[in-house]
Amino acid sequence: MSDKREQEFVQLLEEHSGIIYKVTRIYAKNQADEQDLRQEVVYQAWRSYPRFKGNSKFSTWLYRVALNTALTHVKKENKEYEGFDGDWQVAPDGDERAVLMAHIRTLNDAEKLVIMLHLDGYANDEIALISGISKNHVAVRLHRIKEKLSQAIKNDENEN
Amino acid sequence: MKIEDTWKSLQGEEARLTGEEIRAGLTLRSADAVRKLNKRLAWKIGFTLLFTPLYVIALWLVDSWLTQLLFGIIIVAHLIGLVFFIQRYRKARSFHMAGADAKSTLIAYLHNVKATLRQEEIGGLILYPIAAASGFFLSLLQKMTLEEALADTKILTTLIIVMILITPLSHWLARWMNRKTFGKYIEQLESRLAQLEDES
Repeated sequence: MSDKREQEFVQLLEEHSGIIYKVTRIYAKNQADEQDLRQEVVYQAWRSYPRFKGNSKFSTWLYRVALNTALTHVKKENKEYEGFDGDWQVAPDGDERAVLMAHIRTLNDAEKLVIMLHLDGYANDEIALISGISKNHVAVRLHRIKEKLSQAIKNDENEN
Repeated sequence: MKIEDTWKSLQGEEARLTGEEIRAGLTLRSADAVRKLNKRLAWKIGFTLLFTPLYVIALWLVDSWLTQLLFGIIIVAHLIGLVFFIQRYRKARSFHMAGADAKSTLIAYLHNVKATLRQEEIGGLILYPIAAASGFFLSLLQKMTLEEALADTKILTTLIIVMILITPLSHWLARWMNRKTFGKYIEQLESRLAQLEDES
């Protein structure tokens, strides 16, 4: 690919790097794995970029690439991974973002995907399109996931 | 905690990837090359683990003090090699190419791999004549005693010739094998490094 194309890609990725950050943070089993996964997502996005024709938003396309890469990575690398929060460092007291991430990490892969897209403002039909889950099912799942998360966070807050 | 607000706050500076980080991950040739090189370093650990017990068995089977001594040296050298490869492999695994300073990480990584191969090849230069002599005596002492062998000038001359021939040949072979298994990926990383240097 030409330098101009590369520059354009790098710029787009820089603008939407929050997507990569969130996906890798949630699907990686620890900080070191997060670095590997981030690199893998960047590479897969670069490889797929020639096929991006602009029919959807760049952010939607990037989400799809990042999630597919993360799910493949999880299958490949984390066969032995089970448990609450992997090897992630314990969230410092009062760091709500780390607490939220930790709770999202406890969800299963499909639930993680649905809640991430929802929190990033995707409509249910878009979530259905990206995840392959039916639109009605997305709504039902989303309701359950939100309840589950709120309950877990509330329990956490009560404990502290 | 309001989930939506907390999620939105994840868009901050820490979530940003810099242009340099993105470029570092652009070609899986780099990531893939690193993975392949690490795997090949692991093979070296595997081969050392595989061959060391064979030498230990050989040490038990021979009864001449000279062959035992030679095999003993080879075993010690293999154990040193094993520790050396494990250390280098662990170091190689500790590099993360998608980090903020991709260029210096790549330089350090390449240095580690190249130094490992160079030191292995140099170590081999000391070990090949000893291995050649041990093999030579192992087969020779089936037919005669050590005293007889050491008293025969023809045998000693043959031994010296074998050592002189085996050492450079084995060295060449080791370098060829390292080039064949590591060379392609080292070249890929070197060209990536050149690209990064051009950009900076």
